[in-house]
Amino acid sequence: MISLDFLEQVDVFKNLDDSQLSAIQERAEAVEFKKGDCIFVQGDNATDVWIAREGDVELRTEDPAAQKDARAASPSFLSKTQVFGWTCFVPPHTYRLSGYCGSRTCKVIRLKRESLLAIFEKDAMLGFKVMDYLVQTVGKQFEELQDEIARNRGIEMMSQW
Amino acid sequence: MAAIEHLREVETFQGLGEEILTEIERLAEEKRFTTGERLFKEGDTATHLWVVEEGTIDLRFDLPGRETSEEATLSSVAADKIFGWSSFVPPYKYKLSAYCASDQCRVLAIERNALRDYLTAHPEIGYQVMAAMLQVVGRRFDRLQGTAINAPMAR
Repeated sequence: MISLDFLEQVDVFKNLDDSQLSAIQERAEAVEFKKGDCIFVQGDNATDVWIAREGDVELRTEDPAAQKDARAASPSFLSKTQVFGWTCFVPPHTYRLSGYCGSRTCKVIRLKRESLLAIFEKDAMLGFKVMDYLVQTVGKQFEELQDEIARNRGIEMMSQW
Repeated sequence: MAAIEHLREVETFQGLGEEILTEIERLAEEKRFTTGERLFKEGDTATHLWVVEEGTIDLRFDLPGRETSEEATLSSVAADKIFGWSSFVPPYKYKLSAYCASDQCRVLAIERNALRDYLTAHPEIGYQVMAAMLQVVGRRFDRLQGTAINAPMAR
């Protein structure tokens, strides 16, 4: 079983009390992968949200068009306590990248979306805190991408002056 | 169309009851702008979440020493859509400037701290609103990523 001590270190679960952490704990499944194993494939139905425990999880695109773009083609590596697979909460509920184990072993936590939604329905404050954190995380990723697009478009505009 | 009618159509507030929408409306101030007027600038503290009631708002990046232009528009926001959700993302700074891009723009500015206090005090509503907000931000992130891939940036 995943310890409460670990769960409270996970950013998305910070500020949860012990009873809320216990509710998450009861539904958390420990899963282990070996280097190169596929955790999920881009485009798959996103039924779970994941948390990295040990090792490096690599997120990368399988889209040939995206692979021509250096930024989009660069894999992201996630380490301990980072959350991935948040698109399970966003229609059309498909993974937008593939997840692979990028180190000798990867230990991750799997949380089924449906069981999380069920506990959010019972404890709305828990749902509010988790969704609030995910908005911040996804919003930050959005802003970083937007910054990069603006910077590059600005450079193009200035080069035409 | 009354402000509450627009709030009812906004993705983040859809499905909320009349009483709740009235409470949210109380936290909002209606503002009017004309074409070219700036609502806020990049780097300002993001104190409000905005809803377009009428017209179109352009979100643009600023270039030092240059007047703003449509060329610098990264996205345009139409009626019944929200913008300014940097007010929910630390460090709570607007990342782009917002300009009125139509003859007239009518917007609702919802005070961020008051809205958060309300959502925290009513977690069932807070959960519903933030879950919807995640969907809005997630969809726009996907769209932005698609734009970046279809028009790869110079590197």
